[in-house]
This record gives sequence, structure tokens and C-alpha cells, in this order.
Amino acid sequence: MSGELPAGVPVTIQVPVPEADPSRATLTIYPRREQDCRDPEGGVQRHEYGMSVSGTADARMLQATISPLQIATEYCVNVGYEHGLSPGKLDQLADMVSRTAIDWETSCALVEPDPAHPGQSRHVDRPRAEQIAEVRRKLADELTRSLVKLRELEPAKAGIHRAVITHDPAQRIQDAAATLTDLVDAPVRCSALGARRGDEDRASYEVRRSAALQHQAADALKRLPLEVRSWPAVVMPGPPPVAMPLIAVLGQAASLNSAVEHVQLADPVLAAELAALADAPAAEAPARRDALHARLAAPPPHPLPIVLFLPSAGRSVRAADLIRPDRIDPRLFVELDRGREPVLRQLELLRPQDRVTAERWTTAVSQLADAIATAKDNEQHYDDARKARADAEAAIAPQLRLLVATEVMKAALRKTEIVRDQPPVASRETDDKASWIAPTAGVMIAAPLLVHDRRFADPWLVPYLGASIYFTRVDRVIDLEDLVGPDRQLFWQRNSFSVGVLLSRPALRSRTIAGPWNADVIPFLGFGHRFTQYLRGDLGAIVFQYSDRIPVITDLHWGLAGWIGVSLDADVWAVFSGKLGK
Amino acid sequence: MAGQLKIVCGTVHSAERAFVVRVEISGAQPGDRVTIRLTQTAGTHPFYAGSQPVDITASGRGLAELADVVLHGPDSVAVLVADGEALRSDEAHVQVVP
Repeated sequence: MSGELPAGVPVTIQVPVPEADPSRATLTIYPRREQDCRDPEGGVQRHEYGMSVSGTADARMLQATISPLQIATEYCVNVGYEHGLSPGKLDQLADMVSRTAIDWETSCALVEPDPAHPGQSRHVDRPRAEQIAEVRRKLADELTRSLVKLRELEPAKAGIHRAVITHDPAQRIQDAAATLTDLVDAPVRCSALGARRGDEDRASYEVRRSAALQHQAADALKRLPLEVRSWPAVVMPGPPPVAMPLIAVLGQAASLNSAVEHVQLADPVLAAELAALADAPAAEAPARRDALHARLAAPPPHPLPIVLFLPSAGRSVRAADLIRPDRIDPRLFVELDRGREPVLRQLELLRPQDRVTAERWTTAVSQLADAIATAKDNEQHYDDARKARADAEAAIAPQLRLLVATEVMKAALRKTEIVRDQPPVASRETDDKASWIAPTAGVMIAAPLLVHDRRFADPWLVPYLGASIYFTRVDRVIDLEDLVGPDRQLFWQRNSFSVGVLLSRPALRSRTIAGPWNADVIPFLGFGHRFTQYLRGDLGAIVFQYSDRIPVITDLHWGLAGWIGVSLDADVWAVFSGKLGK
Repeated sequence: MAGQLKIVCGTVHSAERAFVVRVEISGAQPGDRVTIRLTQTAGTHPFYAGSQPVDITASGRGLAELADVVLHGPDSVAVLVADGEALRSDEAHVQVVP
């Protein structure tokens, strides 16, 4: 909009579209009454027009064609437009919604006791309708939260009065959430996640079960004898470490010293003899070796503490130190986790001299090693299952982001918030292209006063032609009742003086009257009031001269007539500008 | 004290809904039995409290499952505590799997 608004004709007002998708726009126009253009919310010439969108891309315009305006009048023009979420806000909303924290576990399933495993729980799928309702509720909650945040993030620009006028926003949000839930296909996702969670539940159960079995197997060790009627086996440092009977070491002078420390834990006397053998002069060594050989060939005379070399710890440990009433030394678990063979081999070497004890130990250690291996496998399965479930849940967010970005969702989300923006009110003046003088033609009834005779003559019915002189430019389009402006201006819109002449000369005493000073035309003066745009009533006076009743007297007498009339009040400008009759 | 963890209702878990809390322990002493306690410390009454013994495997790991955890309102906070006496490793730490 720029320049003057034309008055008296329909006007199309165009406003650039400030948003991509105004859903509705209203143009309100009213005569300016207050300095600040305050909307009177009613009164004459206040109109509201719905605006339509025309053009495309950057050339989009809102437009409305308004009824003719009054001339020379200042109007206030107020364009309010309603719009949904802008593309930028839609993107932000899509990001927020895609991060919706959906607790898929409780949305998809219920936790209830597992009849197959007393004391355990299991996940049971909820009915499809409940899954859908649950996911939709979460999405609706997130939408509600996100829309509040967006409103805080993007206040109206300066000067624009913004009001959120979403009709029933809760329902629109529910509709958008329902659309997104349909796209997400919650039951299918719950089914897929349920399968993953089932794997995880089973793996979790197996981990805990195997850990308990390991605990039981470890407890079984506590019931084993801690001494054995066998000489200890020794382990020669590797790699790899090699377990062998103590008797086999006697011939390996270089290995004796490494065996002494180990044997010390089982039989300090024997350990001392081994040390002596290692340090014996070459002449004495064979005798000492033979004596020890004979001694080790038979079981010890009394049980000896069981001693095991733990390669992972790099040291020998008494069984009594490994297995205490309150706990098992963690080093044994670590050893069996790395490999059971070094320990089992040492136990196997005890078997020839004490079969019962060695077999009990072998069996118990093997069971513990089995439990450790099973627990390790189950932990790996659990890790895999948990990762698969977590990956499946994590994959939903980016998929949700893509779904929110679909056109159908954008259309639904756009309507979740309708904002009315009200830019500052503009005031505009209309042009003053109208005439203040109008030709007038009518018929009058005049009552002639014959001053010389001091009486009234019979009334005249005569046509007249004249000009109406208004003291303002006359609006011929706006209904008279709807005209606005100062009282003085309103008065002169309806009332005017008129001057003119009679179109025929009435007769008195069979002789036509004359104008003043015997003129051939009879002028009149009048004052008129418009009843409608073009019809007016007049009243006025006529000064005339008439003949004496004695024919031989040629002097004319002065007369005065008062008159009332009805006339058509034309408007030359209106005729030529096409406004006549609008 | 092995560690602690907060569970906040409304972010991942819904109020009034039973859910499963799995507690993973790592770095503990193999063979130990650790008691895990989950105690609600703030939020809406009635407060939840539950415990589970956990056997530590040879890899120093353990897994506890608290199956019927219910928190009754938003902003409820539950603190997870491992039995400090049973858990002898200073490096043990606890992780809750949502």
C-alpha cells in the first residue's frame, strides 16, 4: 500500500505475505477517530474483510477488495494474519520431537512374575491398543513441551502484537501425535524391541544363574581336604610352565632351586634336603639324590598341605590360603579363568599317591572351571543382547526424526500452533476528487406576496434550474447516515445554498411576471438539504416584479415569493468519474 | 561404597509403572557376593527400597536385577548402593542399565 487511497470506488489492497503459510488473514479498516488509531470495534464504516493469498514464492501477497471509502477522510488499516509454524520452527520442532524419551520397556510391555522361573520376572507384551496409546501420549507430551519452548525461543518481532489463538490446541496436538504414532507403527517396533528384550532377559537370567552356579562350585571347594598323602608336584617355569612330579626334578640340578620354595610350603624338611642337594659337592650329590628318590617314591608318612603353583600369579600358594572358610582367594578364579590345565595337571600328579583326594580336587576344580567358563560365555551373550537391544532403541530416534520431516507430519504439526500477528496499524487518507458545486433541477411551489397589493396571489408551480453550493466536497457514494467527520463537515455534506432561475415565468393578471428591474429571467435564492445522495428539498425566496392591476399603469411593482421545492442534485464529478449511483 | 546412581522418573521410566533395573558391577573381586541396594531418597511416597545379592564372576563382573521397581511420581530419585564391606575392590563401579 502506498499513496492516497482512492475514494468512492472499490479498492484492492495488497500486503506482502510475511510468512510462508498464513492460514487466514483479516483486513480491518475504520475511520480514524483516535490519535492512536485505536480500533473502535464497531461503528459506521468499520469493516472486516477476509484476505486471500495471491502470487507465489517471494511475490506472495495477501489481498482484499474493500468497499468504497469516503472522500478526504483518514482511515486506519489493520492487517492481522494467522499462520501456523514456520519452516524454521518446524525443523526445530522435528528435532525436539525426535528426541522424545520414550520408555519403550514400559510402553511396550508389562513386568510380571515368570511362572517358568520362580522369583524371576519377565516382560509380557501389552495389547496393541495400549502400546499405541502409550507412545502417542509420550509424543503428545513432548509436542506440548516443545511448543512451549519454541514460543519462548521465538518471540514476535518488535512492533508486532502476537497472540496464540490456536483453537483447541490440545486436540491439534493429539491429532499430530496420532499421525506420528501411526507412522512410527508402535506395535511393530514393540514387537521388534520385545524380541531383543526377550533375548536380553534370557541372557540376564543365564548370567545370574551361572554366577550362582559358580558360587556353588566355589563353595564346594571349601568342603575339600586341604592336605594330601602325596608329595607335591612342581611346576617348572615356562613358557609354558610345565608341571611334573617332584621326583622327576631330582635329576635336574638347575631346576632344584626353583622347586625348593614351592616344596617349602608343603614340607620344610624336604625343602631343606632339596636345597642341600642343589648345593651339594659333586661327590656327595649322587648319594643324596638316591636317598631322596627312594623317599619320594613312596607316599609321605603323613598328609602334607596341598600346594599349587599359580602361573598367573607367578607364585605357589597353599590350598589352605586359597580356600578359606569365608572366601576363596580371587587368584584361583583368575587362574582357572585363564586356563584350567596347569592346576588340573598339578592335581593329576597327586593322584598316584592319593587317588581319592586328588580326584575330589580334580572334580571340584573342573566344576568351578566349567562354571567360570559358562559364566564368561553368558556374560558375552548378555553384552551382545544388551547392545542389540540398545542399538535397536537408539535407532528409533533418527527414524523418528525422518518421520517428523515428512510432508504429512509437517502439515499436521503446522496446525499445532496458530499465531495471530498484528503489525502496527497504518493510517491512510483518501483523495478529495469530488465537487463542491452541483447543478440542481427541480420543481417548486411558490407563494407570491404582492407587496403593493398587500396580499398573496395564487401559488405557482414552476420548474427551476440552479446550482447547489456546498462548503465541502460532497461524497456521493457513502450512505449519508454513514458519513463520518467533524460536525461542521457533516453539516455541509448535506446542506447547501443554491442559486438559479425559474424555467418558466408565472403569470399574474394574465401577464407574466418579470425579474428584478424588469429582467427577462427570474432568479431565486435557496437553501437545500439532501435527503438522499441526489434528492434534496429546497426552500428559498424569489424577488420579482409584476404589473399593476390597472392596465394603463405601466410601472411595475415589487413582489416577493417564498418557495419550497424538490430537486435532483447532480454531481458533475461523480458523473464523469463513474461514481454516479455507486 | 561401590558407587551410586540416580534414576529420575519421567525421563526414561514412567511413574507408577514397574520396570526392571539391572545393575552391572565390574572390577569387583572374583568370588565375592555383593549386596546391591536401591533406595529411593526423594520424590513421591511410598519410597521404593529393594536389594539383591550379586555373585561376582571370575571376570570381576556381577549382574543384579531389581525387577519390580516402581517410582510413584516425577522427580523421584533412587540411589543405588553396593554393599561396601562385601565389595573389596576400590575400583569397583556400578552401572545401571535402563
